[in-house]
Amino acid sequence: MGGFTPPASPRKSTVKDSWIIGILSVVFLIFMLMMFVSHLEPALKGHNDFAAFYSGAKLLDTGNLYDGEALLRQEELAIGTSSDQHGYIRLPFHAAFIWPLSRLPYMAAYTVWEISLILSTLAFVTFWRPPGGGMNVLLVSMSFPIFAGIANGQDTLFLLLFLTGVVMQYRRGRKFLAGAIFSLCTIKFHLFLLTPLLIAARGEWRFARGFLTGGGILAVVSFAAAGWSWPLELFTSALNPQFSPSTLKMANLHGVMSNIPAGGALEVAVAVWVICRRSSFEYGLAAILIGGFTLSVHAYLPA
Amino acid sequence: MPTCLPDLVVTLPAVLILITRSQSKAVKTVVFALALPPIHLSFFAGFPITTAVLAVLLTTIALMTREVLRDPVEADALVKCAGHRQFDGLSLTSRRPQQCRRVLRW
Repeated sequence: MGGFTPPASPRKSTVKDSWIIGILSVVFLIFMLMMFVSHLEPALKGHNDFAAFYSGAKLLDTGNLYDGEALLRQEELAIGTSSDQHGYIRLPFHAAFIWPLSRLPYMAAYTVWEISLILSTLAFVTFWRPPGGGMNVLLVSMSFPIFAGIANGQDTLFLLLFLTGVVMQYRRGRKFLAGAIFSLCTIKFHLFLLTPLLIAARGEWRFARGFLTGGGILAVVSFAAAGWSWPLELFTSALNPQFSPSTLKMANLHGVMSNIPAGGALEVAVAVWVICRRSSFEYGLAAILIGGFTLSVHAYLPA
Repeated sequence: MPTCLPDLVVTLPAVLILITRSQSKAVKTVVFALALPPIHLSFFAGFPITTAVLAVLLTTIALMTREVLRDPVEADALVKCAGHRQFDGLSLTSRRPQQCRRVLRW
């Protein structure tokens, strides 16, 4: 006759899970460091995308933010080399926000930038709920895109901070503020093309007012920083074929269906609309993030 | 160095939302692939990553659509319940929906 075996206490289970998650996180961190060791030298020297951001911010002084040749000359001055794949393809407010850093020597500015990226990621790990805690640490430690973002000096990691702020404020009922924070995600606006669907399908008008107010302020900053002609200049710069060498390398519909204009885009948009219409704000947010990446024009994985 | 690989970062919040909020195991399983290194690294092994990533993205959207079409009210109610003060910080595990339903009825 078998004796009664009491179930393991939840506390013991939690402690055990924490150990497993902790060990896995350390293993993944070591794995990531090994993967990126060959890219360590350019990352330490700042020979990456931050050079373009820094140079663009400096170009604000001369009023030619989207002049590709001027940007490369500025890069030469800053780091002694330049990349013909670099150009300024962000909105002018982005350069205006970075402008204070451009007053510093390059390496000092780069150090501040990298620390900001890491702090942004840590804020995401700390404040994103649920699941929070160890699971957040584990998922971040095995995220190749996050480590690539830090090594490349890219601004994408700030999106994690902004999205954390959006969700936190929305849950507290501060929809206007959530929308205003969401407007900062326009630093990579091509990844958020489906945002109008979330707003319209759920009738998130307070969120929309916050988004438009924030966007309006960013637009004023942009016009003040780069004059009236920047939309056309940005459009021309963003369509530079050197920045999009092969559509087949894009990990989205443009890559796979490059020969079929708008192929599949409508179906994705309709699906995202249905999801937003019939679920919660957060579920809808997840839908526009995944759908937005699927439809974005510029989303390369390989170099 | 994959220059635009960091763009995939935007899918990480979506992964976290779906693995904790979705009631569909299929959604959780498929979207979790986006957080795993093999799918990020498959390019370096010569695998056609564009197809791999896109397949995960499209399958996730399709499964999410199926989930909300099957039981939209329930899905919404459960998410609201998960955001309820009593459940704050707790994830929706397989047992949670029953607890949520009880709380909502109560």
